[in-house]
Amino acid sequence: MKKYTFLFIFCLTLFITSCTDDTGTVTVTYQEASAIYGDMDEIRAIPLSEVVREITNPGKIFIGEDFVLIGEEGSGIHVINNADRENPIRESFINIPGNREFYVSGDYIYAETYYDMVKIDISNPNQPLLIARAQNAIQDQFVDDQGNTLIGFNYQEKTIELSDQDEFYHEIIGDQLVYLDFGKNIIPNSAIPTSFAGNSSAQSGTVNRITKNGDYVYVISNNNMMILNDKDSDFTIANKLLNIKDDMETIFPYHNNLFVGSRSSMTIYSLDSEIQPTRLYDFEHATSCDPVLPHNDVAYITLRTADFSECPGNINALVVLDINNLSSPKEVDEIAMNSPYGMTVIGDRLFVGEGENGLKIFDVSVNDNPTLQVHHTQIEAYDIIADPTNDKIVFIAGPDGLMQFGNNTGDQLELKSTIAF
Amino acid sequence: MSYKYIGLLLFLLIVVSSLPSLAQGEDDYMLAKLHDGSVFYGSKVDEDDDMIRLRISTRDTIHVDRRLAKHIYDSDNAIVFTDGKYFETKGFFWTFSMGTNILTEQVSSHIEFLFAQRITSKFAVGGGTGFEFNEASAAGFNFDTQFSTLFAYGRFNILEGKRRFFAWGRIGQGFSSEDNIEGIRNEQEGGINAMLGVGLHFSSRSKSKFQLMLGQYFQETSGREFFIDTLGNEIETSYELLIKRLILKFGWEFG
Repeated sequence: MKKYTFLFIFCLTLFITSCTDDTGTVTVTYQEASAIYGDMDEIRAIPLSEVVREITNPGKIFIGEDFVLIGEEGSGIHVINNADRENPIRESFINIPGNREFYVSGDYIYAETYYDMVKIDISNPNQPLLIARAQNAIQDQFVDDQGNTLIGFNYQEKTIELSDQDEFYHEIIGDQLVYLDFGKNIIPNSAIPTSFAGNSSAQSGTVNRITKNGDYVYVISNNNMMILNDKDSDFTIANKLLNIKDDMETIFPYHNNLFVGSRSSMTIYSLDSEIQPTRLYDFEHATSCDPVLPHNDVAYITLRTADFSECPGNINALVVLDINNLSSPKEVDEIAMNSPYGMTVIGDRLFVGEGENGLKIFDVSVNDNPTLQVHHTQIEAYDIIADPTNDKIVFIAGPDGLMQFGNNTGDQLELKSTIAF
Repeated sequence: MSYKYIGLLLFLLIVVSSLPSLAQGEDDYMLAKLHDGSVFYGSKVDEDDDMIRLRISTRDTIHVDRRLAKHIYDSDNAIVFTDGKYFETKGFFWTFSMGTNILTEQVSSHIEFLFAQRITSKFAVGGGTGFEFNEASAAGFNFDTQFSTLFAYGRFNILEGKRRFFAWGRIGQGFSSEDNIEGIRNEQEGGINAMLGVGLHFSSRSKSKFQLMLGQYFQETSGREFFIDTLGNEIETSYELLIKRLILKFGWEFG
């Protein structure tokens, strides 16, 4: 009897351990990337000045006293005469191939262009002058066997059917090292449709990858921070901090410190040594997209997630940190939001763009206790900034254009004009 | 050796070590549970309509008044062993069990409620419901699937003993638990759900009994799931899969 029992158990074990792999088919629709190569010498020789273009793929926006700059993702910056706030006129275009991010300080633009950083004089924005170019400041070029430089990718949608044993997904994320390095180091597409560029005035956007503090320009890619010397006509790399943080997104200067937002934390760096920022504090949070706005000893952080977005997760909130002690900030408030993007403080009001969910205005007369005053559900707002010459005018970046609102009461907004995209 | 094999080895070890305990129960043994909570078991000497005479392990003979007995287990309705442990052979029972996959790295977690009737001392049939989470894997993708299941169940006792070796099976339908959630574009459909396996049933002196089971699990599923690649582009997948797992389950039978 025992012999049969053992035989039975042995056979049964063989049977039940013989099939533990899932079987079937998977149909995959994905974006296949094809490398685009270019000659960087030719690209660098392209003249800056060009005639007016249509705005087709807007990115960063800068509000000047009499003009507005609107980035055209991947190709340059539109110059718009805005002397008459109710009748803005497109006047010219500044060619900056590959550009997505730029920062404005006085009469200068600091912009990335593929692997380089450029400094452009815009004292007359319709006649921009290239002052300096820091070649390969962002990273060394990827060059193919023929000497052509990788400058991006074209994406084509493909659909394929795979068997269960196919290792397709592991291959596309595991073996494409050049693809990944390029994506990690070059400044990626923004997770926000349009936003205001960083600038040296009191009113600066919060969703930026380039900033300036003193004589140094700071640029973040996904993982690295590049520091450029901007002293005495010099415009060269002063330092590169490699792999300091994953998924960095925003950088904001405040009281000789840098506030860097990544998808999992907000990190404060001291600039006591300008070319060697020292990490003071990490505020860890749930994975999300998170602009940071330091203001009067508090820092406002918006945490935004959405399914199947670049910021997957399940948290949407406005977090308030007490930053009196930069080495040990404390969370003092967290307010549930719908989908917070960029923000700004104008007077005692905190404006937070909620994207498709509108615009919220908080009373921050008590800095660490924002109180919701009004929710404008009809305004699709991704970033907000005050007019540099008149804080009764508010600029709001939306998906279809740059809207200019009168804001006499602090909470109510009156549309004055729209620069349509 | 992967820790996933430990569960399988443990199960086999317990089965093999249980073989000496697969002795038959004693036909003349019986167990009486009285209303006051006392329990007597031993060899039945004789009985009539009012009284049962038992020879217990001290070789003393005692009389059990049937009117005072809450339950009496003997060869008519149970297999009673000399240490007073028993298995019922008639009536209804229900079980609660939990399981996890072994041998593969994907996560599977199962819970199950079962209601069944003992048809003979060897055979029981019933039906049940469960909730099952399986991380399905194909073409390098992992798909999170959840099913609520309804199934018919059958069990056959192969070897009787204080630890009873049995074969079991169930077949039914797994219903997706992820359909039509607002804001979630993932879609998932269920399909045929089946399990087939063996188990060990541990006799006890109470109405609850422990079970250890090993079974091959099958679940049909199809659906659509979205992923984001490393540069933020969307990957849309649609799949038709048969999920197969070796599941180690433990459970308690009541009744």
